[in-house]
Amino acid sequence: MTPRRKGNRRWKKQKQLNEGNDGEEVSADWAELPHVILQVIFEQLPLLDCISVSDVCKSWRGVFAQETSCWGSLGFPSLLVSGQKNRKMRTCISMIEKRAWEMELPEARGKYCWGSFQDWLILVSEIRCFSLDISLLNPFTKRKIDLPVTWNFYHKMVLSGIPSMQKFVCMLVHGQCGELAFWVPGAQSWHPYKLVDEPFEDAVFCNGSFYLLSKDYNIWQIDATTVLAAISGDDSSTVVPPSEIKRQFHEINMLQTHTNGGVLRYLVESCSNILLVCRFFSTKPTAALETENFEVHMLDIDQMSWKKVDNLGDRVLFLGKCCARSFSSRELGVNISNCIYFSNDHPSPWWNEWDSTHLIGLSSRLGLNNTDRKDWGVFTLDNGKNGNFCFRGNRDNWPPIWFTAPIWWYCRKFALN
Amino acid sequence: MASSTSGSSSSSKVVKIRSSDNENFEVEEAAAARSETIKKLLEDVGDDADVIPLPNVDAKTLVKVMEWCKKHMDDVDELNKEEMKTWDAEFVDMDQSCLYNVLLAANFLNIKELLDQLTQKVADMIKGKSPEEIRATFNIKNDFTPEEEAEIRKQNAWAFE
Repeated sequence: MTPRRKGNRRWKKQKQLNEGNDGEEVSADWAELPHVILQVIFEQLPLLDCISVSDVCKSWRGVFAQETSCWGSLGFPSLLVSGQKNRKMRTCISMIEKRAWEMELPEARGKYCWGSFQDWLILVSEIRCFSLDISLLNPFTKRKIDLPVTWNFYHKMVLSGIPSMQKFVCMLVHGQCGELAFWVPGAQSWHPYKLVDEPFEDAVFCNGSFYLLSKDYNIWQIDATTVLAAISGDDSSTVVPPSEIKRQFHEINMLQTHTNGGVLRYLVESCSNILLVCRFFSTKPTAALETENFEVHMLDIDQMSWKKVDNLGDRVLFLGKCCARSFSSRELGVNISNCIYFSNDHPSPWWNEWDSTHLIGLSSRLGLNNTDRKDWGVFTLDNGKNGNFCFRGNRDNWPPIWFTAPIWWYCRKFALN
Repeated sequence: MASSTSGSSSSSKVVKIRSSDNENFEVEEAAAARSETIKKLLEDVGDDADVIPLPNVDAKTLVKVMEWCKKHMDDVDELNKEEMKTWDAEFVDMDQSCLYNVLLAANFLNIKELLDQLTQKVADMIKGKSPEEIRATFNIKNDFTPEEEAEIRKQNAWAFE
């Protein structure tokens, strides 16, 4: 405690006494309220209010700035800008607060960011085009988990839970056939698992199962517990016996199917439901790579159908490769809802940043003007009705990745000693 | 809460409690036992208890807390739920210094439901306010140094649009 502060407090006490003499109430020292009580109060606040609260005084800021705080990985959806593989600092953009910052990330030097799981990043470095060296890094706690090397076959990775848990499953999704690969903590290698011939466009984890999107909008469901049981402690064989893993095929009806033009399909978990978000690219040759519309459908597994969702209510979706997530606008404390934040994902789901050198300079080859174009956009579900929506993005950049910047880190980063 | 076992009005046994400023109060046991702290003390001392000292709570605050405990002594049936809600809303609508003391007392006396209501009230007073407005509301001194203030401003200056 600095002498200066002591002086301030003495002054305050004196002031309180004076007020008391005037017959007024002695005011309470809210700054010094025990942290346990402050924590209960702040837990009831939307996240955006928590930022204001942390700027009130040092004592209040201290409540948030603990890594072990009950806010855990709760935080703000942010973008990690791509194309900065060889930099020590990475540019991040917080959408909700509309602010950008530079994050020191020497651990990620020379690595691509494939995706995220909440506040964890999935990092990849390429070994001579054939193999991938994958690791999980929490840029805030600096915890790191190295995964075994695998072949460069996969276009997507899905996690069943936060990597700080003891038991979780990582699943890789093959880009050329319906094959997967699993890894659990302790396993020495990835365990390939062949399911069908056609590759899966997207996958998501929800309520204990992985859900895979196959062609014609059908779904494969794989029980994560049985994956964990089949792989844990058994590293003699690299191929998982198919009989040990519980799986199910669901033939799901899709009433409206758009056959013309490119559609990029995402699976997103939202409030224990599975959403299918269809992103429609323009069919006009003059408007190459423009996104014209989004549609959202919810999986109704009892009725075996995709139900159209016209209103997301309180939810805000953040779409991206290996990083899609749904947030509650009420919990964030923002006045936006029923909308989709997205980045300039490529119309084909199969490519990764490390395979995308042929895309560099695409904009100029197509004669597109990229001046002032952002890598992200916002779509409100009502937009589709008036048909005016159009987004192209900066095509010279690989799409940025959504991740969550936890509140405790915010308060500590901007914490002052 | 376990205190629902204390609802019977037939056993309107009275316990004595003493505030930090040495005022004695007689309270129905069922009401006092809404406080987990008092309940535990009562269990520990049994019937030998003369008066239970509460060194952290002054008389004015204790009166307020016991008013709440009395009201919440019995289980509320469906019919009275709305009425109780109104009563609770009026109860937490107290001046700021009183709110502070009752909050501390509810924490010390371990009355979870009251603590929930009070913290919710404080949270509502914070919602949507800027740091300056929050400081003004709670009469909190800004103890960041000018350098730290400049740092905060710098962070905010990165905002775009």
